[in-house]
Amino acid sequence: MRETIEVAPNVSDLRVINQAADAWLPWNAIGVEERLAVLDQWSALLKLQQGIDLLVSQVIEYHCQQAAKLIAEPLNMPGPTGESNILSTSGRGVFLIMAEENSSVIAFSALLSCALVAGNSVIVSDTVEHKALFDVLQQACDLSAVAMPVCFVKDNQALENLLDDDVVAGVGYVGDEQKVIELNRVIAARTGQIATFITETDLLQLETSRDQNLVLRFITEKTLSTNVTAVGGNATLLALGCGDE
Amino acid sequence: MSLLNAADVLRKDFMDTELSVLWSYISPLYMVDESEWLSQLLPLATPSTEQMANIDHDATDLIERVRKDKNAVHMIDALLAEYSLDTKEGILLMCLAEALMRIPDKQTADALIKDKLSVADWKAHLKNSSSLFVNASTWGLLLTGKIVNLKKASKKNSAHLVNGLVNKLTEPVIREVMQQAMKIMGHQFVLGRNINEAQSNGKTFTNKGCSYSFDMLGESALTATDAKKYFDAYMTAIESVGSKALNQKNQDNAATVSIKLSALHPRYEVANTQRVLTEMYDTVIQLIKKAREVNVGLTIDAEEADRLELSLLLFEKLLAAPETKGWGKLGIVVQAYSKRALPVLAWLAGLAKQQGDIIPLRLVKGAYWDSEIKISQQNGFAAYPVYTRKEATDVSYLACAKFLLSPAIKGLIFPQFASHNAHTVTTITHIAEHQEYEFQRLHGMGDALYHHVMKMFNSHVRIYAPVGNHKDLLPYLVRRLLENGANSSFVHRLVDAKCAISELTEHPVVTLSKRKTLHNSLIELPPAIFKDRQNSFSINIDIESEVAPLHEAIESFKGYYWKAGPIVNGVHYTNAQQLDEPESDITLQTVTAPYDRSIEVGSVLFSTPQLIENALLNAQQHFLEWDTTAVTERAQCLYNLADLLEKHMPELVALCHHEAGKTIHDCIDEVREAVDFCRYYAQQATDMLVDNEANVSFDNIIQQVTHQGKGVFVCISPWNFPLAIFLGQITAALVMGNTVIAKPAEQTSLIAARAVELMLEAGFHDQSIHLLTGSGAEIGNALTSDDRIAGVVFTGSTNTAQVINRSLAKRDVLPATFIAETGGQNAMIVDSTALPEQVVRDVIRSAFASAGQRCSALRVLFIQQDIAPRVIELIQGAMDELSVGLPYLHSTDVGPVIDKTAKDKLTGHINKMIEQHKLLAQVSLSEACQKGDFIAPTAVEIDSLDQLSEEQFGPVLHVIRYKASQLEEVINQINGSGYGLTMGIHSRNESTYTHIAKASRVGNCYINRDQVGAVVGVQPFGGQGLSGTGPKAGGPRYLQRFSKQVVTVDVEMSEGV
Repeated sequence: MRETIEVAPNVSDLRVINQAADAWLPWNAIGVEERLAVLDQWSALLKLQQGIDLLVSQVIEYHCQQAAKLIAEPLNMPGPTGESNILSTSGRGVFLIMAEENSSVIAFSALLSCALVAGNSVIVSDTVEHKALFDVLQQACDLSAVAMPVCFVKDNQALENLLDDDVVAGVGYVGDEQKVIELNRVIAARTGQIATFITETDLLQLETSRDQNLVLRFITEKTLSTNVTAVGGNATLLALGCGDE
Repeated sequence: MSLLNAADVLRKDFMDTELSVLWSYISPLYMVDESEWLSQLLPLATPSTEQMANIDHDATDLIERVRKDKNAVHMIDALLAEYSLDTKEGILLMCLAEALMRIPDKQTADALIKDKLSVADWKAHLKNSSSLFVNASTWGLLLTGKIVNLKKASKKNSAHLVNGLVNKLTEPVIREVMQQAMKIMGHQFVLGRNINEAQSNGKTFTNKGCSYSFDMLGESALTATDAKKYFDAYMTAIESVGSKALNQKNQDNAATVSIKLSALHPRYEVANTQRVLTEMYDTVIQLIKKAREVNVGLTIDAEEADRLELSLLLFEKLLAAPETKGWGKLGIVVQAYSKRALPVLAWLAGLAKQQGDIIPLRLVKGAYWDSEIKISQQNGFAAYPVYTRKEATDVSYLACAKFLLSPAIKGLIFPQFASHNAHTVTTITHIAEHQEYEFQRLHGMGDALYHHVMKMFNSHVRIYAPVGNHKDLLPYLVRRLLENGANSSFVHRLVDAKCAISELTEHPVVTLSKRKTLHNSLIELPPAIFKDRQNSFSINIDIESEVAPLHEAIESFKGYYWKAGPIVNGVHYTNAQQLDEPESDITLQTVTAPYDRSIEVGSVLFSTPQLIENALLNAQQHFLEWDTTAVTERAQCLYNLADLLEKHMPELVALCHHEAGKTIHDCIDEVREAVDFCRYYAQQATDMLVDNEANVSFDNIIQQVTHQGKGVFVCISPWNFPLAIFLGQITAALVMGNTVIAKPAEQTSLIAARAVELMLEAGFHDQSIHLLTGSGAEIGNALTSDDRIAGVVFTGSTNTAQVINRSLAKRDVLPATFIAETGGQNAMIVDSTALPEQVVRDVIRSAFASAGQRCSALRVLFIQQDIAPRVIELIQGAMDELSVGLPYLHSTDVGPVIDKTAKDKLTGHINKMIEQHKLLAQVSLSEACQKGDFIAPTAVEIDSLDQLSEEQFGPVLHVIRYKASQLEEVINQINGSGYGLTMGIHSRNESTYTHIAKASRVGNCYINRDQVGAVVGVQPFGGQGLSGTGPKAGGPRYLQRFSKQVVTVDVEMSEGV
């Protein structure tokens, strides 16, 4: 069972933010493959749960499959011989994922799974509606011996109170358009990093949740360029010079 | 087509050609079509049938003799054969050899040993070689590797007896063993630690009739102090060699000294031709005077291809000097892998003929081949200055040899053939039409080969012998290992019994003629290194034939007055009369040059509220039409634009000089980056949009996914990349179907307007792209507060990004897409395994190129304290050599900053830093800087990153020393700044640099190189945290952010699921 849920409603905002920031580093460090394994386990366990819409596990599965395609392997970028250029991805940091009551668990799960598989830690409100979801995620994490990258606050208001904290790298929201506009103003008023804001307001068609590249909204990219001729020489090129087509 | 017909060089009257005509043959061959030129060289290199048979016979005989010789397999040859470059262990060994001995602190040295030895399979090499030396070395490496591994291994493994025993050895012992092993390797290649020791050690071969050419080891000088050190070493060597009886007797085998010009001057480069022809000339003349006085021949070594013509100019001047005239012992080295080799030889022969002095000339194949290829690819030159096949270089070598050994050249040039190839050596003895030549070989290589060559052909042999301490030998050693460690190397194969002799005796003419093409199609030409797009074109401004037309075209814009203003619906408003507004509401701003504010280069008309509204209205109205225009058509506009940018490069270069104060290299790079953006995004968009894809969504619905533009994008660009970032933003938005309103930086509106004119010429719809010149605050606010805006792309300060974000958020509409590329507090971490000279070269470029006005520029250098004194000394010396001045001069390294505001802010920061901290170096500003906005490049030592509150966007470098044990704190400090744009790492320890790279939260991390100049599609660029929102510009995920996914449910098919 997750431990934080009992404590979370009573802890100060700062403590939750710190908890989430601490949770982010190890979760981000384990890499996409391992995170995918945890989330696959999560969606598999969710399928076995009665009372949880099958589409919830399916939407998680769907975005995991997309993540496997889009971000699991770093990209080797082409370029001049004698250097290596690798484009990889990682999580952006701490995400707040919130949903209006009775909005869409599927959309919430889509945002949540994308945030997690990308390598972010997440702060959510501890609602009854999502309780089973997180209980099962805790099981999946336990099975993989991975610390749960999710922290909890009491309710959506408590989540909103965290919006102006610079540590928050991004926000996911499921609900109505007017609320999106209001939240956006709060997020934009901050002085630190510009937080990414991903929303689902089309609760019928689930336009955002359907986005096959949704996970890319939750990542940050890193290019690693190595001069391989600095030491050891340009062996590949030397071999080419002696080769025949 | 080159002007020279290769066959003509053997004409009897060829040497009657005027010297200036011979000179004119050189430069056009710089990167001549390889196959075309080789087809001309092949007849020169082809022997007669009889010669071919004789060469084959004698070469076979020679190789058989070498293989029978018990002493044939020299220790180092065997080591090279075992640890060649195609083994991981070979590369690791070289990495260790290159770095270990210069590391001052034990902790870092041990870490490097562990890094290199623990990952290799040394056991696999054991007993592969029959050489005792190799096996002894392998045992040493194996045991050492085991020890290092054991620390990670389980207890069960460590119970093994041998391992258990060696485990008792401690790290200091390992370090000592490795240092000794490296010294042994050094001894094989270096004749002596100083010239006296070298001459003493050389006696064995001198007694056998060999002579020597001594080379004082060292890297290129970065500072005047280092140049003086090398000068003194050469002078000592000349005096010492000259004092020996052998040289006093003036015998044929008198020793000579080889000098490396790049060691004698910190700025031996075409950009500093005047300094080379005066300061360096004076230096070399002193050496010549001394050498002549004590009768020691001097040879000038060859270096990179770009410096060839400069070295010839200097050589001409040196040869003609009174101190040299009549001497006949000033020699030069020519590299046969250079396409210009043959005309260079012809010109040198002409020079000798004109002056009446013979020129000793060493013909080598060339040792910088891989870097020449890499540099050409990076710079996007049209072709390579060197041949791309080994056998092509061999053919060139023999064609050059044929010329040098022809009767007409006898007495003009004394050829010295440097080769370790039995076939090449044999061929030369057969094609020689006179006997006035010698062979040269490297000390430590080819001993047995030349032992038999001397016996068979009675040839004279000179040994090229490096002299110097073990620290200095390492870069040299690595180069030799690289040159000879490859499997193909003749040295390697000569002693490899598994290699059939017939393989070694095949004439290179025969080998090359068997190929499908004379050039090597495995190595794409620089324009074609990207499979899916053309590389941007560039001009090598160090090559006379290349730069002359560009220079002339740029000059034609001198004094030109550009007029710019808003471009709305395809109409360019450049004067007040075009606007229906009261004059008091109109602003026409004069643009002056940042390097000289008294020079007016143009005027910019500011946008009026009416034009802003027109742009918004038309951009919105035209969105649907542009979005439904086929992507291929939109992409074609980008391709057209790329071509137009290349066509108009001279004007754009001129504009970047005069409006943005950019130096010539920066101007060319600016245009290239803009071109790359166009071609990359065109190709990416086509790939992404041309086919609709069907997929099964999470709810089992089969959906057709298409992408559409989002609407009107506002592109707000900075002045530091007025063309590249400006067009990068715009073309990305446009190609995805959005219409664009571009707001350029006020400081660089002329460039922006010219770019939009070219866009309209390229076929972009008049209503798809609008340019609004004027005040950033006014126009920016008017645009970002407008509900019609679907997205904003911004590059600039973090604060402005936040202002824009808030302005967008105030609107009563759903959030707009906002892509922001903002500032950084970019650091570089240097540990004690790094090569200080390489570090300093990269630091100077990263911190001061473009006057530090790059988002990626280095601001804070963290140096491990153990090497800090040396690195700082080099930085100070290298800064002394920087030239700050007029940006259009090739000799200028650092131009002005953008305007007075920037200048004042930077001046305030520098003054504060100097007051509170330690000034390390500050470049002095010349008279040429008086009328412009210049900032003297400055380096200051501080204690902690906390002492910097914000980014300083200019040529100011902050240096912080750290202890090896504080590395984690350093990483945390950098991450703690909140910025995350670029980071540089210099370390030879792979574990260390991998760890730093992983732990650092930055967008672009550069290892063992500079940290500026990201290339589109190669190094996607952008930061995280306070440094930007992502996605990365010039990366594969950028365009997606400019479009929205449109899903159409395929009802019919979904029903079947």
